[in-house]
Amino acid sequence: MKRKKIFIILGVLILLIIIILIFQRERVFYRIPFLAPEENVKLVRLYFASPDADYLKVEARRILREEGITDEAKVLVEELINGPRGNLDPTIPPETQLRELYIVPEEKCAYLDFNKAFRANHPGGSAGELLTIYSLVNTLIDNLEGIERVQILVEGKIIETLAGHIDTTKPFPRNSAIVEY
Amino acid sequence: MVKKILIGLVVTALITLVALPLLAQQEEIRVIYDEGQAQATIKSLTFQGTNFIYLKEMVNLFRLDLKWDAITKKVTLTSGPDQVIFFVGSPQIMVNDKIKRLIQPPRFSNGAILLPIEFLSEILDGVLRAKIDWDPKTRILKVNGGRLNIRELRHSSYLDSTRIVIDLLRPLSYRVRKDIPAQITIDIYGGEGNPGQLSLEINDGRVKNIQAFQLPNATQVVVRLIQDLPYKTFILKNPHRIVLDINPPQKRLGYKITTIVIDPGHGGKDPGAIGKGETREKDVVLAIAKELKRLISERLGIRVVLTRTGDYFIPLKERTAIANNEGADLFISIHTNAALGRARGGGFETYFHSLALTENAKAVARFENAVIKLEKGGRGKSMSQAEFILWDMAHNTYLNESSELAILVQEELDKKLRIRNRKVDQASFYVLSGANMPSILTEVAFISNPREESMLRRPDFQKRIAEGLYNAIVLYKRSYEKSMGLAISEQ
Repeated sequence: MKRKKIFIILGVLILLIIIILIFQRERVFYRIPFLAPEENVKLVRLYFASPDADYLKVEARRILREEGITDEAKVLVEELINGPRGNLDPTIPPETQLRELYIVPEEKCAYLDFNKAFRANHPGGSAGELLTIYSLVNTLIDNLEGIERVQILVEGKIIETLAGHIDTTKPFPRNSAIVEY
Repeated sequence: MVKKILIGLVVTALITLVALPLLAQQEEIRVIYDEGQAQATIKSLTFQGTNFIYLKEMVNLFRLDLKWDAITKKVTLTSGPDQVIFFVGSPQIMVNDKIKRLIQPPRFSNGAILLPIEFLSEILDGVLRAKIDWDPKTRILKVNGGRLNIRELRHSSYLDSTRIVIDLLRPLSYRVRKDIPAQITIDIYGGEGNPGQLSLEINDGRVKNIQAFQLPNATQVVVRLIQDLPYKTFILKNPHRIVLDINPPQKRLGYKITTIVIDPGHGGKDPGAIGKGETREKDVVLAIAKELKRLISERLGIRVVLTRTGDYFIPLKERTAIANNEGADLFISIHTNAALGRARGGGFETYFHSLALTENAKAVARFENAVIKLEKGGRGKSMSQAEFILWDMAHNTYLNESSELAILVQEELDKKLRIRNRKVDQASFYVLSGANMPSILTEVAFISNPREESMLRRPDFQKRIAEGLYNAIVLYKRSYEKSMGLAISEQ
């Protein structure tokens, strides 16, 4: 009898843990800032699309602080690819992979090199392209010291456009007109 | 007692020995270029009776490219075909694969690299096409020829013109020749440049490339054009620079709209955006473009050219090239929009071209005299965004016309369509960047939005879009020809 009770209690406990794990999986399985000491955590501003694809809006997120600016930039891009957690919309096709990221301090420029999926799975459209480009550009420029421009590359090469609209042959400066606060 | 004095003496001697380099005398050396045409002063330090100068200053003096390897302490200096390599601390200097020796090796002082002055008079003399003489009595360094006096070549491509700027280090006389078709040659007398740094690939629809040649007494800059275009050159000061404007803005002569180029987006291997129901952008926009062409040619009697009339691929650059070659008065690119996300967007919007506003562009803008007009208003050291847009507008003659057409399109589509009116916006569109006429790109609905996708498939919806665009063109034509007519009757 007593033993049964213990089993029931244990079962309930295990269930509870599973439930907690399911609902808190974001915190448990992703980087776990709430376990990390405060000085290792950085609050960043990520730009995602507004639900009507009109503007970019900010989603604040805590990420683990990285050693160098290049690693920090990589984490920011990965977070953008992972997509929003709140009620904003993604700006980058989820199949996208960041192949490489270089920062050239003298140019104050970050070079982002994506795989083919970035282009192949892009929805197209002027609005879609602008949201993709400036979510990357504004996020990197806002969160990293000394970065003023962002150049997008695919498979290591400069491309004319993502899907036939916006000129991507040159680095982009920040764009505040596309942001709604 | 004696011991104490001895220790004291030794300590003093040690301190002096250590401190001596720090007490090195700092003086100045006068540099005279080309028999007094220009002068400069550089710092010099004396160690053990030898004059040293800073590597940094020398590099600036001769505009050399400097490479520094901190691990091996290797310094590589290059200037055009000439290369000088040495290691700090070693008296051996490699000059264009020949080894020369210095009496005193290059050395460090407080983290800077110092070179004995004989580095200039013995090593660099003859290299860099320069003659260098050092007179230790008068402390004057004479440099004749060799110093690069053409610093760099820059260019900016605008909607309808290209500006090429040659930055000089001092005033030089020049001549512009036009003796070969589609080519402009600038001879800069007494010019010394690095031809590699003065050559550029441009390919902006007007200029193919720029190539520089170093002659014994001049630098020749050859600008190759796609076709013959009007140009003008002038010189600006502080800093000295030669400016060449290809196809400079001028008032248009024709005041009637006679040709319109319509560009159905994408095509062939590029389907454009694809809706959930497999509707392809390239098919929808072609149908709309054909309908619009029919309306214009039937009702207005204006010549209409489509950039593509079927399902085939045309590169973006070629689309505006068609419009330029046809001498079109308007360029209208028709697209359907798309976005990621749950709703996947909705509504119609119209864009016109603008350059991305970069800090760099602002700096360049500030540089050119076009802006001095703006700055005459006073104070402004750095340009505000609004000022830059003004400048941008002055340079892009068709920006006003394009924005006017975009506004009309948005208003007229709004009367015809019951989907959301998004906005008129500007962005740097690859397809619009080479257009020599007012140009817009309209996104008539979101194909990524299932509701709008099914609308886009319907011929009556396509027809309504074409009618909206047609009405906007009629209104634009009327207001444009009226304003131009007024301008002409006033003259």
